[in-house]
Amino acid sequence: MTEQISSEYELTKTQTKEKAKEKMFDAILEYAAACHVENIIEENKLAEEVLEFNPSPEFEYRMKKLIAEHDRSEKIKHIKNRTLKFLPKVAIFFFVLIGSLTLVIASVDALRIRAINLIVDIKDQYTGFTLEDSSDKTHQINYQLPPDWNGYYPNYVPEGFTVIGAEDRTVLSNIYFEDSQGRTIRFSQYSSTNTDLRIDTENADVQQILIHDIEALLVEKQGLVGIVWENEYLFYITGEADKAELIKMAESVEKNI
Amino acid sequence: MLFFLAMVLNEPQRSKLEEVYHRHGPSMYRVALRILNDEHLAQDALHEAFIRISENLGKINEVNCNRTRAYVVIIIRNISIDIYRRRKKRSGLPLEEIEKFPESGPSLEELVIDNTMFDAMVTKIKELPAHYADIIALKYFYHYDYEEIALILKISVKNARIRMYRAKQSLIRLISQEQEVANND
Repeated sequence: MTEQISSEYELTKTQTKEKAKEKMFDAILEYAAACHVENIIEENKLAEEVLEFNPSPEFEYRMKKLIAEHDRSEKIKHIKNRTLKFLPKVAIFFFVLIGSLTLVIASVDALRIRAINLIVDIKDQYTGFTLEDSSDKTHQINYQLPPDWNGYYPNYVPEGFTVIGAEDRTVLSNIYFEDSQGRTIRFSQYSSTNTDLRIDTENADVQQILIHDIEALLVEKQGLVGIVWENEYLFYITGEADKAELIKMAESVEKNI
Repeated sequence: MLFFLAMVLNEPQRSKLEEVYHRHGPSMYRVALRILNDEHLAQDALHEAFIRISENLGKINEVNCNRTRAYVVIIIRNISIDIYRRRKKRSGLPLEEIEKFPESGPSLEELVIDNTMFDAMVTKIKELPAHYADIIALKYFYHYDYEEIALILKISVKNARIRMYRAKQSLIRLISQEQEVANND
């Protein structure tokens, strides 16, 4: 045990001495390095007084090219670094800005309508409609129209459907129908010439049809049929009913006098 | 975007590399000319030196100082020596291979570290082959690691280590020789 402690002590002592020697030699080398650098500077000073430097034009051109290339690559690196540094801040700024604008648009009616109108013009997802002047004619009514109804109405509704509600606003008038199975149909009349209507035509079956020789659009998507056409006002019938029945309903629209 | 452009346009007019060239180019050329004794070769060496400096420009903090002056001289001198050796066509082997390994000389323990040794160092270091003295300076004055030294001297890390080992051995031998002469006197 005593021998073991003694040998460990000897080992530690040797290691410490070796480390100290290394440090001493490193110090000598540091001193030597400093002397060498000092000598270089001194020699250089002397040489400066003796020789002149008159580089050839070709050499000057080579050096200018080298410096320009280096500067260019440094500038690109610099811009890249700065871009990477500021990109998250810019992203956060735009995120906050877009978030704020969304909130403002969502909470202010006028802005919301403007924004919606903008979206309507994106043809891939929505189809936009604008009103123009026109006229129409009809047949007999097979349901009870609200007594104070003062606009157009469909003279025909598919069998089994009855009026469950109606609303007459300045811009938009709606009549809601429902049958015993809970299927609904909505007839809409957009009274303002500034009105835009949105119909979801994304991945829908869309076809052009004629309603009394007037071009109309028939949209079918997931069992829901919609027909939109213009005739003095913009009309829209949509519901879960047979396509032919809805076309018939559209053809029957006439003005309540 | 405007802020961004303003930052880019605010770059200093003269780049650091250009500053180094204007400040130290002439003295570097003189060092190369002294070794190569040929204007064209000296210009080639200078051009090569600036390619190397551009790759290690981050190591230069202040352009107009002695530390940088010695640093660029070390670079140009090593390039010039390489060109000189290639011209002499002594051998296709790298420097470390063609040099004779110093005979097993005196060890560190045999050195007497005293004032005489430190006084002699300024002159004895001049007797050390330049590439040995330079690598000692890069390691112990500029405190670069072997990877950085290899990049500056365009040699492999292994060769940088070998050169450093030989430089140390040569230095010990030089100092011990000096001490021997002093003892005999």
